[in-house]
Amino acid sequence: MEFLAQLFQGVLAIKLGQLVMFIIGGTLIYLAIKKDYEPMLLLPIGFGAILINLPYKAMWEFTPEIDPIVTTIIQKYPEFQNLFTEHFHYIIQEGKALKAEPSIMQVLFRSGILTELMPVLMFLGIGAMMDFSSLLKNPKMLLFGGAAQFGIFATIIGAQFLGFDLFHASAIGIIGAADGPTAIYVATKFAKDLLGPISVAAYSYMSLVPIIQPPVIRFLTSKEERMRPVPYRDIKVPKIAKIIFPIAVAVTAGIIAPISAPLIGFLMFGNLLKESGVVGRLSKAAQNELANLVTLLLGITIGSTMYYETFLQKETLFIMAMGLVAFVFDTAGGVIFAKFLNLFSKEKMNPMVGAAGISAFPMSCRVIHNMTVQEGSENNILMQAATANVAGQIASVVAGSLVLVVVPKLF
Amino acid sequence: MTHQLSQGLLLMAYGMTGIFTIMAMFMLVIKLLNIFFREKPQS
Repeated sequence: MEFLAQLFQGVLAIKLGQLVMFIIGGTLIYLAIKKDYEPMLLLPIGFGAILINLPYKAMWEFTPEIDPIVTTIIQKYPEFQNLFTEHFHYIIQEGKALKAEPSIMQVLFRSGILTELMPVLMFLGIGAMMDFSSLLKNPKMLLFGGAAQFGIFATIIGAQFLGFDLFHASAIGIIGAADGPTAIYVATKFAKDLLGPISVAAYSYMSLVPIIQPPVIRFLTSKEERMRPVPYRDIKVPKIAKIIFPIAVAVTAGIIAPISAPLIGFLMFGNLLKESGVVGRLSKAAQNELANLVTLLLGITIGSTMYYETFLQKETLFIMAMGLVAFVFDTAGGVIFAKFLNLFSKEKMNPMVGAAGISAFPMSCRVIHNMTVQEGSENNILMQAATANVAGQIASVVAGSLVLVVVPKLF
Repeated sequence: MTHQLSQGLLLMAYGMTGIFTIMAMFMLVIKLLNIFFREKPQS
């Protein structure tokens, strides 16, 4: 009988919460494969969620073993007990110190997420993929990127009303940056315990942009506004300007908001690799090998934060709801700002472009373009929408950095 | 609750002002780049 119990110890140890997490992980994998919702991230996150919920949490840490030396120390000097439990991950049971060695997922989490290594390397890859030419032709679009970050702050207020403290509310609000690595970066600083749900919400809603944005835009604009053409100046951008731009932005952002230096710095470093034209191999490595490898590890590591005891809480539902609020207010912020600018400008612009100021690239600009096509307009606003979208990518990093600077001062 | 609301609104004010200021700085950088490195029309 004992032999049978040992043989099926895994089956006997499984809890209902773990089964629920298998279903959630399976749903994420289904959405990635069947619906093509951010498959690069939802698939590894889904599988990571399944792996971490296997019995005995074997992917997170090995079965704890008694450490005789530490046991002797805490028996002689009980005042050191907290030191070992809080800083060296010991568990004290019946006066004995048990040390649980970290397994692969915990190693990845500690070295890649807690050190912020993975999000920052991700920015290097994103920077190498970005093309700022359109922004250099039309710098006014940067303002739309700024306006579409409104959802972050509206969501922070909403999350506070749901009972989250300012740090947790801010980490939740950053879902509105529509930028996965920024959301992870801020959550790592302010709300490590909410990293799993925040990341899942950020990536899920980014893939749902085509469903979320159109009704909000239709609600806030008239058909005449949506049909409006957008003037576009196609001027040639000199190569030297493209090279100086990432350096100037990194220095400017680093001086104004030093905390933004790692994010903006690596984003712009990636872009400089591309624009310099002399390190083609490095630029391609950043765009492909590095970005792919980090995406792969980032996804499965984020999945490893979805342990049933911490994930199956009412807070997770709140975070998913607030993520939707963030994207709605982002879109509204962009559209309303464009309409506001139209009050003062002679050349009225299509306010839908404002909604493309969120960071979800290229989904948002595609959505705006498709909406003009659906309206029967022959105007092509794809270039302007894409420019606003690129501006949103910069603005989201700036917004994340500002939240990191301002929140500790208000708390 | 009032304290939380004021905290949130203050953060919104600081945050949006900060974002627009930094975006305006980037605009200025681009304007300067366009002034200094504008390609001259070929004769």
